[in-house]
Amino acid sequence: MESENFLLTIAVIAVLVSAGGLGFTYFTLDNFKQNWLTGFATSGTVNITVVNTASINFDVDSINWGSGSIDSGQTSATLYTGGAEPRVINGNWTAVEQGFRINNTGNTNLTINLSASDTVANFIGGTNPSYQWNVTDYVPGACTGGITLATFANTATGAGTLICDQFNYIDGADVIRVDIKVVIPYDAPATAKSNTITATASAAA
Amino acid sequence: MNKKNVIAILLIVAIVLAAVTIVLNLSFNNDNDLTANTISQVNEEATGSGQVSLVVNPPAAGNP
Repeated sequence: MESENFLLTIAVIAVLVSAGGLGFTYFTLDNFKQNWLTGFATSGTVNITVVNTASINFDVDSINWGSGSIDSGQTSATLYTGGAEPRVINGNWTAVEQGFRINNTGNTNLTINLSASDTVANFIGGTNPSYQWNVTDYVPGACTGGITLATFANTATGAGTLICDQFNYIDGADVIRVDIKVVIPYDAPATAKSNTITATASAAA
Repeated sequence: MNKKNVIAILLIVAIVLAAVTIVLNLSFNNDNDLTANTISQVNEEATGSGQVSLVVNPPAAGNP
């Protein structure tokens, strides 16, 4: 008789637990349908669109050497950003250390092309002028592939030149630097000179 | 009705309730018959620009 009472107690507990479980499941699922799912449907298709945003910003967007002239007895003056001092050779322009700084502010690796708004002949003029850019990592690992970093190369107009094949978007490794070097010959027109460097970015393959 | 019959009935009730719970869960899972996932990527293009500027004054006396 004692064992029957025990089994009876166990059976009652089993019924109560089962009933509780059923009630809990029912109300939990009902609550889930009502409050957690938006537009609950019995069937359908889930469309997920992942937008890879190509976005860049010139954190430093101006290189201005100010006003100056070529030193007496010299055939040209050379101005450059970055590198070692003096950064102005054979002239009295204001030295500029900081080159352009381009930041990948999007969420995907980018391919970057640079182009200049005008040719060196139109921008500087005179005999044998030079207008070059030099792309380097501002932070290590920002650009992998596509160019030889840390080398001055002639600027290009129109479609421009590929400067970075894989421009990293990860914060902390997503900034490149573009330094500029110009050689101003003695016979360059004495005027205010301005040139726009445009970077065009698209999602890297 | 003796105690054994009561125990048996209670156990059957418990089993039925557990079975109903299982069916409820299965029916909920079957409710979500989402047939396809489509992932698409939209690539955009961006541009930025910087300005290089200087003023060239007439050369100092003594230049070529």
